[in-house]
Amino acid sequence: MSTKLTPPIEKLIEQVKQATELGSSYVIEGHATKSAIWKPEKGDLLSTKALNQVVEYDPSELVVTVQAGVSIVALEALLAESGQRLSFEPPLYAGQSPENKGTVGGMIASGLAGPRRPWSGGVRDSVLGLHLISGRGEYLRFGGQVMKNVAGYDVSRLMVGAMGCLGLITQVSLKVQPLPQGVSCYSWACSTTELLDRYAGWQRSMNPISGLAHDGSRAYLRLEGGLDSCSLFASRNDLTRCTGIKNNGDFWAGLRNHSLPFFEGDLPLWRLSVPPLTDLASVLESHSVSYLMDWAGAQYWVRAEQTDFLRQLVTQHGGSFCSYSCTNESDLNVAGSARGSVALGDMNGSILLIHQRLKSAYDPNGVFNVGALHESF
Amino acid sequence: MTIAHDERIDGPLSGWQRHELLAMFEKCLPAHCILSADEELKPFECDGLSAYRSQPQLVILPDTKEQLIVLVKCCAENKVPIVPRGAGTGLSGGAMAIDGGVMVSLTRMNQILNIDERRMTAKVQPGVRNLAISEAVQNLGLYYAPDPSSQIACSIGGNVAENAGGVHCLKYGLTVNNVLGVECILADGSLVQVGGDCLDNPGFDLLALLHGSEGMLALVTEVTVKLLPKPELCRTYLVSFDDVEKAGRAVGAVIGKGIIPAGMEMMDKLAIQAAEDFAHAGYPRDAQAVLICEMDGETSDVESLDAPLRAILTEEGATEIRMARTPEEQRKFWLGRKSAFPAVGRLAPDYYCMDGTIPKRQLPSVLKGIAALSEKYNLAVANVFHAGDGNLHPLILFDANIPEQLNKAEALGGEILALCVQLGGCITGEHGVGREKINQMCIQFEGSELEQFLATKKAFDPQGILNPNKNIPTLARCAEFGAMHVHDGQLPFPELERF
Ligand SMILES: Cc1cc2nc3c(=O)[nH]c(=O)nc-3n(C[C@H](O)[C@H](O)[C@H](O)COP(=O)(O)OP(=O)(O)OC[C@H]3O[C@@H](n4cnc5c(N)ncnc54)[C@H](O)[C@@H]3O)c2cc1C
Repeated sequence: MSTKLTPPIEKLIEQVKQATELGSSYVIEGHATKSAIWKPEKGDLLSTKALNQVVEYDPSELVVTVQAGVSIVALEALLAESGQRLSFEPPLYAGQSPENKGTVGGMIASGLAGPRRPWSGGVRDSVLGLHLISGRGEYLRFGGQVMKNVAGYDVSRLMVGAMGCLGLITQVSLKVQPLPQGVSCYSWACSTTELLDRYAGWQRSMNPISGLAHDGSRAYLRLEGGLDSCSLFASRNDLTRCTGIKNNGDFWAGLRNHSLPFFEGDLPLWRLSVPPLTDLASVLESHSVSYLMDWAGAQYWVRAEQTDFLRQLVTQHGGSFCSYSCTNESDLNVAGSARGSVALGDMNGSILLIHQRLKSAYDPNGVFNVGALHESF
Repeated sequence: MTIAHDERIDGPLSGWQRHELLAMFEKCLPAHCILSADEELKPFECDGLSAYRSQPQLVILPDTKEQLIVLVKCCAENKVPIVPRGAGTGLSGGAMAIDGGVMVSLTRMNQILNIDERRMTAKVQPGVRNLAISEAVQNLGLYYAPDPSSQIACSIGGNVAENAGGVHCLKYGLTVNNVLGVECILADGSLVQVGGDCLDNPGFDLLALLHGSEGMLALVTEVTVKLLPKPELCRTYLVSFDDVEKAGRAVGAVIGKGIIPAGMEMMDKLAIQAAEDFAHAGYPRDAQAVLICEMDGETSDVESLDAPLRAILTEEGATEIRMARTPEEQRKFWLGRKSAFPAVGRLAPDYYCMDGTIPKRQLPSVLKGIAALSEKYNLAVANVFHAGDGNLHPLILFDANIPEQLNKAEALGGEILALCVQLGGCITGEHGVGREKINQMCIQFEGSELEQFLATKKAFDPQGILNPNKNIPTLARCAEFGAMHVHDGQLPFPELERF
């Protein structure tokens, strides 16, 4: 089925074709809110601003289709009008202006998900289909607007976290979910180890947990679900009697959007991705670094000058780490830049080869975001 | 146009003869892993789509991944095509043998390697049956969520290769949403880990790309799956309608009001009657359609949704809402649905199962369209749908012994899939393209998109030895199929080389 292309898309295609001819490259830009976590080598800015349409939204389908330049804030507002939301809580990092907190295209390309990730899935789990302009300037459509689709390879999900290296995403169809009836948040003082042990027990039966974090001294728990199941869970586990702020919704927004005081200041910020329920507290404390545990122990945020021990730590746990302060050149050299990027030399040879071949399959002339994911492409 | 391999448009076959292949593998693999006698090969001549048969020249049954690596390296060196096969329950001919190639059955690699109770994951070999995982963790109160109707037989390796769904994937997701990592062998014989125990990994999301790739990008040798706690309460409703279209609209209404059932299945009159004759599930024979709606979760949530659910269904015109009162009754409600295929199989000597998907709001239109096509071809169609996620399984009834009936059934099926595409859906929701829907891919995608798929395949498998010629048609095939869209008055691909 062919698609009628709109003038903004035709113009982008033209620009891509031009770059191919000239041998030049682009840096794809939405709201430029994620410059701290990635750094392509070179190129003229190619903005997705003109792609600002909501293509289709029918709440009873649980699917929304929007163009890449639509802001995440606007998309979430649209969904909220019909009592729905994105399940993966994309972070809204502060941008150049208050309204510019990230575009849908950047959300897909960076593949970043918020505190709800372990329970509701990541960006990739919500992507149903997308359109993109390849490095050859071809307009391609993959997946669709339906919940299930196994026709051809799952190229749509391949674009999630690819940092725009494989093409310019022009529109995407996302699975959405109804807002929960009840939300409640709890916080109390305890150790990270204690919290994780408690969670290990909780998760063995049905529970409404949708956030589990620790800041080195306090536990933070968020419940979302039916009104009854949230209050029952809280009373069964004595959560109502916990001291501290009860409705600490601000904490969760701050964790999601990196606006907590923890994220302020100049000390380099690192993200560690490790298996769920990994307890890094004692090691991190022994190095006297401040940290935030998120995702029930599958994601840690760490402020540290020195990284040797971080590298050791993630290797030991089969995880990975990356810099969240890419403005700092030296950090880039010790860890990768983007969420999906890799510290130099860390990738298995055969897998790296596949990455390089995929890059040439989608963007043979290196038009898009060169070096954003790996130095070799 | 037939789906059979046509060297002119699908490319040349390898030309290897059975004795040559046998000599090749006898050198590097133990004899008990190699099947070469006709009577041993017979069971491998088709998968669950029995209308298409082609006996493999050789079947290898490795016991270990080390043997598999040896095999792949040998194939890579000699350019021998490899057709992976799990339990052979696939419904699109994905595990259909190719001349000049070797079939690799992974059923002997069927061990559950590790259950991590604390992290709630299981690491299993590819030949482990889907249901065996849930059985192995039942004592822990856990289960593996994706539940294809073939779950007693199908393998987890096959599930990954097809991105299998199930009756509960509306709420719990498909295979891709429930697998954390796989270990696999690439086309050059190297063993790699893709994904793992973390929630994300550096680099491209190759794990997602491997799901549904039909054994064409890598051979899966280990799978790490997520386990979930069993729901506290599970309620099953059998809802009758006097009109199929009303039933279709009710599905959208329930979901649109924010209620996500664990499963939402729909059957039409022909399917209801067949199922009732077969399973005596107590289905209402006079209904034009039934919905089987399952609500699960925490007790209080499931209970509190009972009244709103009934209200919506009633408003949408349900003539009867029955909630299973006992586990026995619940089992019966599902028995009817789960035996729908064999039940319909008794209505006619053969049936052909389709797998299109559509946006839910199109259910009424697609039902009308299917009825009209059924009349046009004069073949009955029974409809069984995973209605909650818009996945249709129209079952076309025919008799392969009557000349031309298989062709008619294929043509009718092809038109149903084209209708799904036209209504904004796709040609396959969970059964895969395999060889069966190779021509319909030309309707779903444009030439440039198919070329991108072929390039993706090449990035993994430059020599094209892994399950070649499945899933993605050559442009030459599409040009001949004649369904390519004409651009700017130009004929599609006049310049294309014919092999
Ligand atoms: C009665 C019936 C009901 C069904 N219901 C459903 C359903 O509800 N939902 C659903 O999704 N499907 C359903 N199916 C289809 C089928 O069961 C699934 O597609 C299943 O995932 C196939 O698994 P298998 O082990 O039988 O794979 P096979 O049929 O053996 O192979 C399927 C594909 O996987 C590849 N493959 C197999 N193992 C590997 C491996 N280890 N590495 C790489 N590639 C591999 C093969 O090459 C082939 O392309 C049903 C089938 C039947 C017969």
